[in-house]
Amino acid sequence: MKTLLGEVALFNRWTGRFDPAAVFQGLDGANFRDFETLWKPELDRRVAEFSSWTEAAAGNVQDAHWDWVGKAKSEASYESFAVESDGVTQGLMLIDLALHHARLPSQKGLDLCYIELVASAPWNRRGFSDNPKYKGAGRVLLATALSFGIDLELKGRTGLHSLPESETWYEPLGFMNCGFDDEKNLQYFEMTEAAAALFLAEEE
Amino acid sequence: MDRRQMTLILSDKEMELLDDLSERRGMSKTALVRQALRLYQSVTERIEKGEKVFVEHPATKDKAELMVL
Repeated sequence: MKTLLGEVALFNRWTGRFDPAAVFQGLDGANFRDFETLWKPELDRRVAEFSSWTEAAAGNVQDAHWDWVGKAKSEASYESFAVESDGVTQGLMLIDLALHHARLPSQKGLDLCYIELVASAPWNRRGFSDNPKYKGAGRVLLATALSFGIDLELKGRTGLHSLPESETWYEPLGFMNCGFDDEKNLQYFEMTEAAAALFLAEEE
Repeated sequence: MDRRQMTLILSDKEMELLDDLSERRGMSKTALVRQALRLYQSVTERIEKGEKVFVEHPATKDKAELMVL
């Protein structure tokens, strides 16, 4: 079931103004349709310009293979979220609340909110587009994950594996780089309770 | 988040376990039961799909299959 969580604003780089946006818990047919008909063709077109997945980082398109529709329905422990503006899905996120635990020594073993997938629409990404449209979809979704986790008493503890193209995005937000995870073949990042509180205070 | 209330009847031993886990996980009893439900749901769905659920020792890589009744 899709539920409105709140109204936010995304900065429209084209107009220099903030546009109203809405954050939803749960994805519906419109979100899946946006992904299949608007996101996926753009991702496929851009990724075809690169000869390898590593090189695709330059186009901010290493997530082109993510199957949002299949993935969102694959795990009972997933919660899905979308940010919409201008009648279109501008960002998507899947979090897992049951199958991951904290790794940082200060919170090792405790439950946490694990961000399985998070992405902004292709036309909002620097590197993908010379003239990206909205700024802030990723931050809005991250704030949503932290708030959702806090509501479930996970206290803002949040973890994720980052695509190489996104690694520089997470540390300035308060995530700690916990090193390379051989099992996932990606860097693992984690946020502490204190860092989550700081991030959310800055977002208000 | 929508919330509904229910009464849970537990034995002394089960209540002690709930208290202990709640303390160790740093959560209220309600949050702990919610997390336990999510985990149980996920494990149940995997087993129903024919998958096996293991715990693995990080150093020795020894695996033990979780038996879910």
